[in-house]
Order: sequence, then structure tokens, then C-alpha cells
Amino acid sequence: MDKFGRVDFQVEGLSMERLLNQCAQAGVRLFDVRRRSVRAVSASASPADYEALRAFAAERGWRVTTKRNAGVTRLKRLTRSRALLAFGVTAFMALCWYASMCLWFIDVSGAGAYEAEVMRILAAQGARPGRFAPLISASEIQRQIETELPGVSWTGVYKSGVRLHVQCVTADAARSGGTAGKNIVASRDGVVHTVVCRAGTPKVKPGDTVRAGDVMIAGYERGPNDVSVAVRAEGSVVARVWHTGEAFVALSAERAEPTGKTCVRRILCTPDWRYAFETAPDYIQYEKETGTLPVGGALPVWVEKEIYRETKTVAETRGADEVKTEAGVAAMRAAREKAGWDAEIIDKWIDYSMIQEEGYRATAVLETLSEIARPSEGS
Amino acid sequence: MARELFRRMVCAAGLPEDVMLGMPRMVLCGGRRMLMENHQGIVEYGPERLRVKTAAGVVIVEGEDLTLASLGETDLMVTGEIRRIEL
Repeated sequence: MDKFGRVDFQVEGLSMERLLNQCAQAGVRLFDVRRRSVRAVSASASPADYEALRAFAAERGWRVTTKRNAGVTRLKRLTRSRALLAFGVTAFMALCWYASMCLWFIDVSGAGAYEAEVMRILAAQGARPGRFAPLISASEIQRQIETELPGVSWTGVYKSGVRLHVQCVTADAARSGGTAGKNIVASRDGVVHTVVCRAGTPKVKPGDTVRAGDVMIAGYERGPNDVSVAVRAEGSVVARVWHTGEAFVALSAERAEPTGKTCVRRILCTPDWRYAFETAPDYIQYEKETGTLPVGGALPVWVEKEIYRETKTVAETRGADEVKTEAGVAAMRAAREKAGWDAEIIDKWIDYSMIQEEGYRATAVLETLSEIARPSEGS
Repeated sequence: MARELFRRMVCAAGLPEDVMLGMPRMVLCGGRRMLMENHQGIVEYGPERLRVKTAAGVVIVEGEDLTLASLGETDLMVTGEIRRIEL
């Protein structure tokens, strides 16, 4: 019996309330029950409940009239009387599903002179428009291309919807600088500590001295039959590098010392006009402090207050040890900034020199283990 | 008398009366929808008057264009312009 769908019906007879109670007791759930007249009630029920209601309504003399079928019930009756239509719709949907599971387009890009060979391999694997996609193995096609075409340095084969994508990068394209950064070169001078080569051929070993720009990992690899295959070099090279920082600190320093003389000057200001109540002092050397008082309230009027404090320059001689320490700290800070605050320091030292009793010059050297590999630019 | 005693025990224990005693539960939403649970049958039904038998007596619902949106063995839903409910 159907559980889905709905049947609208009308019942006629005596004691409609008795009918409703018997439906409830029999487990027949009714919806949208409306009293049409003293002897008629309309309602809706599921197809299964409707059949049950008809059964006991017939026993008790109520007349049940079907008014309308809806939902799945209606659909079922329609398909029963139009079987061919239902079959056609089902077949069409199945055909659509099958068509969506087939490959209808094959895109080959980047193959260059090897495009004909790539198409041959695709044909040998059965990849052609209209083929059922699950029967075509993208990984197998990729493996065939990589094995049979050494001139293709990289291949990517994947299915996307109804398309089969075959992307290639030939060795000629890689060698001509189609992709930047073929070699790995040194970014600065140093002594090689460790070399990790993930792609390419290493040209240096631990202990070698390199200069900035030297090739450390070359962008090629020896393939089968000693054929050189162009690749994009990848790897890391850690080397001992030295960073230098310098600083000079003078033994004597000049500082401004106040003499005690002070002068205050007030100026009444508007956006277009200024009036000073006092004149500026004739101090040779002074420190000035200014402030503003908004005396106008909502009006654009304010008072600027200037405080002049006369000062004089006093020479101050500092201790040699203090100056030397300060110079060393400053030089080391400069060297750390060059090296990077996260650099792994393996050694450090500071050299001091006195400059004609004027001060100390400190030179700090940091030896660190740093990554010096960087991709080369151009081909 | 036994039923009254049982009802007092249920109330004293704090147990739900609608579950233990089959008392009707009515939920009225505005004036247009009422859900009644634990009913014992339809006594009278018309577009302006509905009488339902319950364990607490006959409940009378009066209004306009009353429709039984759903009628089950123990629950029913009345929709329409509900004007008055009498216990």
C-alpha cells in the first residue's frame, strides 16, 4: 500500500462524528477535515489510510467519493496510464547520466613537437571522445608518456568532468627559460656545511668555498642511457657565513646644561593673526617648550605659550671602559641585524681599536650557519 | 474516588498529569490554531462548533470556519477563527 501521496475525498452519510471517531480508533489519520453539510464531510488521507477508510465505510453505509489524487499517488496513476512516457523519461535520464560519465573532450597542452606522440599514446590507451571515463586510467597515460617520451620533462594527466586534460612541459621549454630559477646558486660567500639536493645535480660538497653567484645545484639530471634531462633544481645549501658590524663611540660627549634663566612668552592667535605679548629672548642657546591654551571656546582663538630655557654646552669625558663596552654592544647589534635575529650563531668575536684618543671603534664578527641557496634568474 | 486519590498522588509527586492520568493537553497559538492531545473522540463537529470528549470532560470550541487540520487517535488540530474555548 502507498504511504506517500494524498487522496482528497468526500464522505456522505449519517453520523459524521461517528465516522471521524472510528477513523481515529482505526488509526486512520485524516487531514483538512471540513464539514460540508449535515451529511457530508471532506478530508484528505494517505492512500493506505484511504483504502482502510473505504473498507469500513462501505460496511457501515457511508458513501466515499474520491475527488482528487495528489503527490506520489497522482504521479503513480499518471505513469500507470502512460507507461511509455514513464519509460521514455527514465531512459532519457539514464542516457543523460551515461553521457555525463563519458569523456567528450581531450585537451593536450604544452606538448610542442611531441603532440603527435602524445596523441598516439592516448589512442593506444583508448582515450577518445565518447569513451566511458572509468575505463580510462589517467595515471597509466601519464606513466606511458613519461616512459616513452624522455623529451617531455613533466606530464600531468587528469580528468575533469567530461574533459581529459594532458599537460606537458618539454625539455626544450624548460631549457629555454620557460620556467625561471633553473639552477640553484649561492646568495653570498661562505663555506658549504650541508647540501640537500631534491632535484638537479649538486656541484658542491661540504667544505667547499663558494662565492655569491656560484652554481651549487645544476638544473639537469642524468636520465636512462646517459641522456641529460633538464629539470628545475631544488634543494637547500647551508653554509658558514660571516657577518660584520661596526660601531664608533666617542670618549668625550657634549651635552646641553641649563643655566637657570627662563623666559615665558605668550602669543594670542587666530587663524589669520598673531599678537605676542612679550618679545623672544636673545639666548644664544636654549631649549623651547610650547603649549596651546584654547581660550576662545567655540571661537577660533587660542594662546600659545612658549617657555625658553637658556642652556650651555658642556663637554663631558666618559670612562674608557664604558665607551669600549658600549662600542662593542653597538657593533654586535649591527652584526646581528645583518645576520638575522633567528640565525644560528656558531662563533662571534669583537675587535677594538682606539682612534687617536677620540673614541673606540668596535668591529663585531658573527659566524652563522645560514641557508644560502637561491634560484638563479634567467636561463 | 480511587481516581481522585491517584490524581492527588500524581500531583504531589510532580508527575505530568497528561501522561499519567490521560488529561487533555491543549496548546493554543493565537486565535487560529489549537492542538489538543489525549482526546477521547469527537462529540460534535461543525464549521462553528466543535465538541471533543476528554478525561476532564467535554471541551467546547466555538468560532468560525473551524477545520480539523489533523485528526488522529489521540490528537487533533483545529484551525480557523477560534473565539471561545470552554471546559
